[in-house]
Amino acid sequence: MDVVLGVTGKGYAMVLTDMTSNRSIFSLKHDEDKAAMVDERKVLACGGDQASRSQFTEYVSKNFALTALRTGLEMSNHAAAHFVRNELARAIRARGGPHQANSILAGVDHEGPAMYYLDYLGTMAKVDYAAQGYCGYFSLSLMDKNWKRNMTKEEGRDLLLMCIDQLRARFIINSTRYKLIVVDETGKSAEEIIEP
Amino acid sequence: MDLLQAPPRGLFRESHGASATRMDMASAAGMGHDQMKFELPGVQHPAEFVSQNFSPGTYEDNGKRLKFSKGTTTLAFIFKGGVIVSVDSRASQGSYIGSQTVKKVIEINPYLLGTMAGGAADCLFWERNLGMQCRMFELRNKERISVAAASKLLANTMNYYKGMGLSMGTMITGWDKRGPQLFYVDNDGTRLKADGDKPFFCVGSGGTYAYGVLDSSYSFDLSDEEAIELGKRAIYHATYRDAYSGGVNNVYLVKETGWTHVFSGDTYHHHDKYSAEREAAANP
Amino acid sequence: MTGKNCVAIASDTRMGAQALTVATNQERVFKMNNKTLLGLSGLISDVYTVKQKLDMQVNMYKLRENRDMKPSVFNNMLSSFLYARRFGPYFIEPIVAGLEGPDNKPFISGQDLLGASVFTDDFVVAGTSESELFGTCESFYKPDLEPEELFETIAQCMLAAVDRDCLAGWGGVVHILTPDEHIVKHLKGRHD
Repeated sequence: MDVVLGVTGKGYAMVLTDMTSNRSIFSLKHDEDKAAMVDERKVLACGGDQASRSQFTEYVSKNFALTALRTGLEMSNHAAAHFVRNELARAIRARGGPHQANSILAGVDHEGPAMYYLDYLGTMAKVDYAAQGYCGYFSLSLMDKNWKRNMTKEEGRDLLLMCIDQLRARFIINSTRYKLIVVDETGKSAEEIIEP
Repeated sequence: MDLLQAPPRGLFRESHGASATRMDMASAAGMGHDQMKFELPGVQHPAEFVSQNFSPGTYEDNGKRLKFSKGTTTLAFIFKGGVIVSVDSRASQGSYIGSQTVKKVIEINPYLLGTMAGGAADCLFWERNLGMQCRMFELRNKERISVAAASKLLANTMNYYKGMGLSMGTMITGWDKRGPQLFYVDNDGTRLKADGDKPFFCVGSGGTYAYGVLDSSYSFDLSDEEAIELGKRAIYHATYRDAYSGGVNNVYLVKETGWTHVFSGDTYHHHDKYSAEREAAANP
Repeated sequence: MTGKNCVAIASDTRMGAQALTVATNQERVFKMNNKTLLGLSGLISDVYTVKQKLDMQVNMYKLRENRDMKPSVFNNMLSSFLYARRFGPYFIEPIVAGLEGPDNKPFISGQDLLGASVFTDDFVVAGTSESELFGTCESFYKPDLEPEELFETIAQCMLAAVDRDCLAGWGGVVHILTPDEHIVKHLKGRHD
């Protein structure tokens, strides 16, 4: 039921997640981070259960750091996405079971911004914009209609806000707070809490 | 539909006893046709048996013995100029596309339209039945039935067969003394009137996508052309994302003078048009 | 599909999660070496995984033997590779198409997810549109087509078949392999 959305634009990629952590019929937390910087210029936004999400995100970010130390190079978006996919695909057939983490990996490298859709099975797709889970049913048509190449950061943000409005209007589960993270070539360039 | 796959004939018996009484109730409830009887299976709990074996699932009839047509996007909205009804035309049976040219808008009479989502046979039959009831009303009362009343007749029927596995999500729309009207009726017996600041419904598996477009671009003050375009656009986006919607887009416009079929076009061409527009809109 | 000294594999390009279409640029036909094409339908995750593992095997073979794997050998390798996962299979149905030996005899085969091979000399089909594809291929296929005719035939077979399947379509791609060329052509299909 998590909201995980992402958009790429001119020189940037941004992700938006809800901030609610639910258990049973309770809402335990309204300031949960579901998107983490896994590298200088890469953000991993994750839906799924909290345990898998945090374990998985940390595993990924520490491995990116290790690779950077070993090679002295920052991983490309392509390489990073394949690393993440490989770990997800390994896990579905491993003893410990799958990582229950459906994610969007967004980053900016020397080739510009990129976004990857990755689900817990290890399915991967390179996309211009993405939505994970149920929120896709409500927001993808808006993104299909309103997304365009090389959007400015303001246009990208407006598109995501539009998606939130739509979710609030039609999705039976409503979140009160959302977090927006913007990554550009300088790294994390903006972080914003949105309380519509 | 392969009837040979149905349970053996012996399972069915002539309706009498308890089931016949039920049908008498139906006549009394306004079905208005003495000859109409449904045979019920001769099992302990007919309703349970029927809903388990003869009701369409959401996408797949897993383990079911019969296949049904379903999977749809339909929408209708009220605006300044009347009511727009816009639908796709795909009938799927599991993942197989049974038809790409289904007429999902059912022309009940020159002033009433019904849409079709869920089981094709259920919608077709009960909306035809509704047409008959509406005509009977006209003959008895020497005036046209209101949309509210017509939709209520259907909702009553749905309520009567509740739990028997009927599957339909329909919108009944038309123009009566109170102006343009739109009601949503489904197989649970739910009946909702479209009003307020968002007087519209989207029904079917692609409905969530259509809502995205409609919610963000709807305004009561749209011109007829703009409204038709919005109807097309919402269906296009639904057919693009939803595997179970597609084919031809049919658009109807309901006015005081009755409905007109204003557009019919393949969504294939919509994709060409809208994706070209999007490329043209790209920032440098 | 086989032609005269050529083979082709066609696929659609949809990637979806049940009813939801996630992406429309999915590649699932791969060139394994100059004489072998591989088509993989099924779980996208396993398409990537199997492709990567097979790439390694094919490259190791080339390094060890200093020659390319023949399509029939590749087929057998793939078969044992899949059967090795008998109790936890990869959810894919592969199709192998290639040119065999010095006279470039067309070779095609299909397998199930456990590696049981079927060999034919006309066409093999796999995936969600399998039954539709059987119909179109049975009708349109002719033996000994030249590459251009083979492309037209396989493309029409694919497009007609996916138009009757909810879960496939959104564009297509055709790979044609001739003794000295690997041609890739993208098809425009319905997007609904």
